[in-house]
Amino acid sequence: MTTLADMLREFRKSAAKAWRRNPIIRIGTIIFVVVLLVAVLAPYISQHDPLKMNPLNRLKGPSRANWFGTDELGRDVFSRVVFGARTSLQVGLSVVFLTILMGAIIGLLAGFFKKLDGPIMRIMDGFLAMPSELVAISLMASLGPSVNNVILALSIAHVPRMARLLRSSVLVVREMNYVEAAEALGVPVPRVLLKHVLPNCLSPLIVQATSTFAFAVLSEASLSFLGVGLPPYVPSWGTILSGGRQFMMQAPWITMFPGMSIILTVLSLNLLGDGLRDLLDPKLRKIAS
Amino acid sequence: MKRRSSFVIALALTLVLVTSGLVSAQGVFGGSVKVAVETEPANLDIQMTPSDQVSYIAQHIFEQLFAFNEAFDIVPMLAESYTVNPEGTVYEITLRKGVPFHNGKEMTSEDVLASLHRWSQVSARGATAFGFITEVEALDDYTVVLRLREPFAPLLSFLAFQNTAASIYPKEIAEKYPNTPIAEYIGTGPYKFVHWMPDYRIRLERFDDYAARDDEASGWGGKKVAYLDTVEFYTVLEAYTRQAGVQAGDYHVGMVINRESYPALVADPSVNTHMLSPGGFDWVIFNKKEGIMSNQKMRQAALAAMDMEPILYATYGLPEFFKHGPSYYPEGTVWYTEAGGEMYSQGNLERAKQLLKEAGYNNEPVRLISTAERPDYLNIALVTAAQWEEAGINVDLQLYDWATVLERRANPQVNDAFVTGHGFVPDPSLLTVLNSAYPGWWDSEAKNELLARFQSEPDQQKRMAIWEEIHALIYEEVPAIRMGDYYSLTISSASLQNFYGTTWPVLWNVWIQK
Amino acid sequence: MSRYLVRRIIALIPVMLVVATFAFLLVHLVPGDPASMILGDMATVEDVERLREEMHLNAPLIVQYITWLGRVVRGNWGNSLYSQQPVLAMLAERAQPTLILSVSSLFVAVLLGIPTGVLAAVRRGTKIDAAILSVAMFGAAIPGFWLGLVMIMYIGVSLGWLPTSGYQPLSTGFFNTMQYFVLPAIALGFPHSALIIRVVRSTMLDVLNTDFVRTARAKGLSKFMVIGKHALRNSLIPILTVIGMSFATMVAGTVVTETVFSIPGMGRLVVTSVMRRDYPVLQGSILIVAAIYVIVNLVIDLLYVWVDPRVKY
Repeated sequence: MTTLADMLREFRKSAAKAWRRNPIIRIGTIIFVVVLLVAVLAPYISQHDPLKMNPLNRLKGPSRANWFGTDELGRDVFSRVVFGARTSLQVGLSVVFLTILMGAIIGLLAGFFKKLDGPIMRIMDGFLAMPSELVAISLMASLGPSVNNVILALSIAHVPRMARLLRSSVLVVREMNYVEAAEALGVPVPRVLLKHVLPNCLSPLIVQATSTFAFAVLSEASLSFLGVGLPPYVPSWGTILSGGRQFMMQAPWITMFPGMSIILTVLSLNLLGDGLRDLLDPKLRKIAS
Repeated sequence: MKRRSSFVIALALTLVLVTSGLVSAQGVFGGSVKVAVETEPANLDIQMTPSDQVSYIAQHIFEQLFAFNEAFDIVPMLAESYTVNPEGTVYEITLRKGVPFHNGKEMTSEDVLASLHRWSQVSARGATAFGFITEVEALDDYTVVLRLREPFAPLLSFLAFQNTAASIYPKEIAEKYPNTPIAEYIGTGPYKFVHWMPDYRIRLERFDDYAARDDEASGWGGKKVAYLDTVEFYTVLEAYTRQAGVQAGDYHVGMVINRESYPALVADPSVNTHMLSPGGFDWVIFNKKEGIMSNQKMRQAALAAMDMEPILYATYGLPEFFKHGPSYYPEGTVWYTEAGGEMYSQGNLERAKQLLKEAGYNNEPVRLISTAERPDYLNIALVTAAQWEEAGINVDLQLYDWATVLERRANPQVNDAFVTGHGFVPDPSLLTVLNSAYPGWWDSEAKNELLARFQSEPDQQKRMAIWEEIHALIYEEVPAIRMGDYYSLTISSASLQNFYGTTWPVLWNVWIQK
Repeated sequence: MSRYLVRRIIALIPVMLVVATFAFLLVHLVPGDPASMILGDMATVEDVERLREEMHLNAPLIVQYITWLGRVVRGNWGNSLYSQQPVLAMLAERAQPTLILSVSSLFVAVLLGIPTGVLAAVRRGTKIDAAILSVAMFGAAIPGFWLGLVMIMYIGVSLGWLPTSGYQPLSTGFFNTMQYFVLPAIALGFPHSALIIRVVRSTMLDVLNTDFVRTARAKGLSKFMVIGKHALRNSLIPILTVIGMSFATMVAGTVVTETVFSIPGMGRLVVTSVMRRDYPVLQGSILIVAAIYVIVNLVIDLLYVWVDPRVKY
């Protein structure tokens, strides 16, 4: 029988081992932590106000004063990319959080209560029949452009995947002896769910979370590019990239830096996800060894 | 043509047309021209829909009674000739005979009557003109008489202008769509409408039975020859894709090209660049009917806060493409004046704060509406908002798609200011802000009195004096804030002959060199 | 088999019902009155009331829903609020470019993905494997529109090999049409090939470890034969699944690619209808894209039977 605490202990142990043995996880973690630090420390790192315009100093290349050059309104691209990391990671983290929260509730209910399973999963199947980007774009039509709405739209678009994943792990776990035993002993259902079922579904959830994160960062950029994402004055990697695309010839630095930031972040998350999958999936672990 | 001198404009416009030099070579028939346009119009109702795209696409399909030549003089188009009584209140217009519509029907006075009536209902400019016109009458199939309450000097400019134009539609169509956009595009122009695939392409084809005039081609007037088999307007939203497309030979004309690319494009032998001068009017217009900005002191504060140089740089990029200065009309035109100009581009935050205090401003949000779809309007809004914020105005910047901007700016309850613009107009009375029915609703007594005098005054010198008063009043009452002169960039493929870049470029008398 | 097919098709009904419900509710998510929202600020009170009547907005939600659903089932999908064209006709017009783009992108993704995935698996642990995986990882991380714009800049203009943007219908000739799709197909297909590479690699690794492959190798069959005939064939099911998923998400991914390359497909239609709050068109697009998705999945499932005789229904 595994509880959350056991699981976390086990996870810490294997994580430490993975860190030592698995270079993919190491690289992924390092990159991601650096990006995260940049976002957190944005006000201390950036030399300029990301919103401050100075049109007389527009489209200047990288220099000592403006490390990443300036954009078409003379704003400092470095500061915008650094603050953009905040917005983009905020979107990514919030989407992951909301997706896990909603997905876990739906998945646990569907997996644990046989009566709910059919109806819930039919609804999820319906949502899964719509590409998540389409769901997000259509929701933005009704919600209007803002950070919160982007988060909401992307979360709703991604919940079904998470819910389906959790349900299938719950289906396996609930047949385990210790869960049946706990039920038989009269442990209340929510407690069984939280203490015994959920911890054992964590590994696929973590892997899925990394790909949801990557998806959210890329989708924010696409939505902003299409003009249905964030308002253009909010610095995010998506809005900077989409605003600078008119000047790709004359001022490639505007798009290059946010573009590279997106690539690096998504890359680090995918590496992390892959490494964790190898680590947490015993079948794959066997193959890799 | 007695009265014509009153609005003959000795514009430096010839600049536009002379730059490329006259092509003496003979035109070649055949081929298809592809134009990459920046955004797609909702419809092609040139009477009703005030957008540049409608004007430059639909002007190939429809014609007016009059047209502008390259010097922005007025010449007859569907009209054969006209006379005016000495008081300037009765215009008798003789129509050309044997002009067919694209459906084969001949154009006669009944079509003109129905079209002018519709124009008076659906076009803001038509409504202005019909504030003076009291009666339109057909003497016979080819003679139309317009009777005016009092002289209206720019009447023929209004009848010739190609935006919300007094175009002639067949009577049946004008009457079928009294106040909704027409859905059947049948005109008398050299090209006829064939097909529209939304968000993709509008296709026009040569109208073989087109009745061309005999007089020499000039500007939008004179003889029109449709050399091209088809003209296609493609909606290409990405500015960069339009430019790349013309450079690579996929399109022949690219509208609204990023000015930043100018140096690279000048160096490219496969394209011709056209700097559109005079440009137009880009401005922030205030809501004077309701809300916080209906307070004149507030508007003066907003003006005092603004420093135009950064706005011009941010919006138009290279210094070749703009000119700092207060005059609504560029130097070299008859309407150039600096009256009231000391208020232009003050960048005086102290004075702005003082005026805000006098206005009793209490940090109420000022809703400034613009769109991210048009980079020029976006940048004007962003820098303007930043400058206002610095002066202590609490700006609520709202960005919408263009269609929503059009809706919201028309509702006095939901906006305090909006960013917009329009192309060059040869007579100040065609300026949208002067029209008290236009969103923003500048309806002050002083303006109405001056404008009425301006519109009915036939003498050019006296008109200029009145214009100077209006110009000064604009800087005093601040109905709108204009940034400065600017020029747009259009490019065409080097194989396209006899093509001139203007806000509304024409594709008749234009051919492809094989 | 046919009974299975019937059962599967019946199972699609609830799925499409959920999709339809989502599409229906979209309009009602709008804060305030959808009718005045749709008509805009210029509308008079009478206009709004007329549209409310037309949209049955005055009826209870459930009645509205059933009326709307009834019309959708009967093929009456309404007219665009913007252009007044019937929605079904608009969608039909847009189907060709989107399908060409999806199929050619899939072609690119598969052509790049399967051979390199196999190669990576066979050369597991070598530098080739690492290089392929890195490129694949990189590809999956590139924002599609950026890749598209960069390609227009360098391949379309500088080299001048291919049209930079636009579209010509198939009626103008197959090759004429396809040249417009080369760059868009790469822009859309390349990131997808990353996913295919990874799936192909891992399933191949699974299969290469199985006894029968080892036996085949031991029998002295050439490596090429073993991989081509035994290993690849036996890993087709997961690969097919990922291809099916790729195809379905590509139909949605076309939104961005179509905007970059000015292709008048369904993706562009979705974006413009979102911009214009053109709900009937948006609802129609959602229904069609979902229908394509479930049909593709069904076809994939049927293909399982064909490629792997062990699968029985």
